[in-house]
Amino acid sequence: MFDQKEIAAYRSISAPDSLRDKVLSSCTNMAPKKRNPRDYMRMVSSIAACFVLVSVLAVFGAQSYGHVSVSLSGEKLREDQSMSYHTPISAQAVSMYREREGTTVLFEFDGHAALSVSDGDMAIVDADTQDILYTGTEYAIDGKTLVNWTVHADDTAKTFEMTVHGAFKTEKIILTYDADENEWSVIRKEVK
Amino acid sequence: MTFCGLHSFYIQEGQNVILSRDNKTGLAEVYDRYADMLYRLALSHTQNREDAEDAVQDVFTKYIATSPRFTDIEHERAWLVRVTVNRCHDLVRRGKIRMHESLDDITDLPSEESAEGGVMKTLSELPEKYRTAIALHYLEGFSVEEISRMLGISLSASKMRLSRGRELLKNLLTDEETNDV
Repeated sequence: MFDQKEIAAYRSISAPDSLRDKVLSSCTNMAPKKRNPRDYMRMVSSIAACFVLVSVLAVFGAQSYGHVSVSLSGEKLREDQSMSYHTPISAQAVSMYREREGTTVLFEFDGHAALSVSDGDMAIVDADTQDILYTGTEYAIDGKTLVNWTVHADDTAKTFEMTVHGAFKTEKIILTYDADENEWSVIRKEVK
Repeated sequence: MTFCGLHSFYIQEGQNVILSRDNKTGLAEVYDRYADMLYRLALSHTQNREDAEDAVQDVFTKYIATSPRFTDIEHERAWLVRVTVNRCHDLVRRGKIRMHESLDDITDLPSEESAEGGVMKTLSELPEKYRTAIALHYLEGFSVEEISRMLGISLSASKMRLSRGRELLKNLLTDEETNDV
C-alpha cells in the first residue's frame, strides 16, 4: 500500500502554528453554549405533539380493530339503521315454509367479536366452499365470516336478538318479523 | 465516571470539582494531541490548506461550544475525527471549498513530486468514503475497530471500505505506473 517513507512523509504534515494561536485565542474565552430555554420549550412541544399523534393513531387503530362490519344482502348494516329483508319464497308458501324450515337470514361479518343469539341457530359457512363449519348459538368470529341465522317465527310479530360483543362495544342485531307484511326488518343498535 | 475532555481528567461520581474559568490549558492540551491528525485528515478532503484550517478551527469551536462529555480518550478522539470528517463533507457539499488550485501552484503545500504531496494526491483521487478509512488505517495507524468507532459505522462496513479502498488504490497506482512508462 504505502511504504514507510510515504507514511513518514504524510505524518510530517502538521497544522501550521498560526492555526494553534487562532484556535486558542478564538476559543479560550468562549463559554460553553448554554441551552436556550426556547430549545427546551421546542423539545417539550415536539414530544407533546408526538404523544398526541401517537395517542390519536392508537385510538383510531383500536377503533378500527374493534369495529365489526355487518352486511346483509351485500349492503352494509349501520348503527340504528333499519333494513328490510324479504324471504326468497312466495307469500303463499311462506307460512308453511316458516313453520317447517324457519327463516334464514345471511349476514356477512368482518372483524373480531363474539356472537350469541337469543333464539334459533347460527350456521357458520365457509365463504369459498359453502361448507358449514359450525352450528350453534355462540361463535367467535375472526375476520370475514358468513353467518346464517335461522329463526322460527309464528304468525304473530316476533323479535329475535343477536348480541355482538366487540373489543370496545357491545351491539345487538334485532330481527323483527311483521306477519301482515310478510317482511323482516333488521336493525343494529349499540347496547349502552 | 465521566471524562471531561476539555480539562483532561475524570470526574468521579459524588466528587466535587472546581473548574478553572480559563479553558486555555485544557484546550491547548487537546489541540496539541489531535490537531495535526485532524489537519491532515481535513487536508486530504479539502486539498486546500485554508479550508483544512477552517475545518479544524470549526471542530475546536464546536468542541468548546458544546463541551461534550466523553467516557474515555478514545471516545474523545472518535468524536473529533467524526466531526472533522462531517465538517469537511459539509464544506464540500455546500461548495464552500475554495477553487481547486494545483498542488504545485501552492508553495506552502507539499508538491506532487514530494512523498507527502504524492500521498495527498493519491488520497484525493479516492472517493471520500474510502479516503477517510484508508488514511486512518494505513497512514495514521488506527485499527479497524477504532475506525468503525470513529466513523460511527459497523466493523464489517469498516472492513468493506478498507478492502474497496485498497482495491481502488491498487488500480490507481497501476495506472500511474503505466502512464510513467
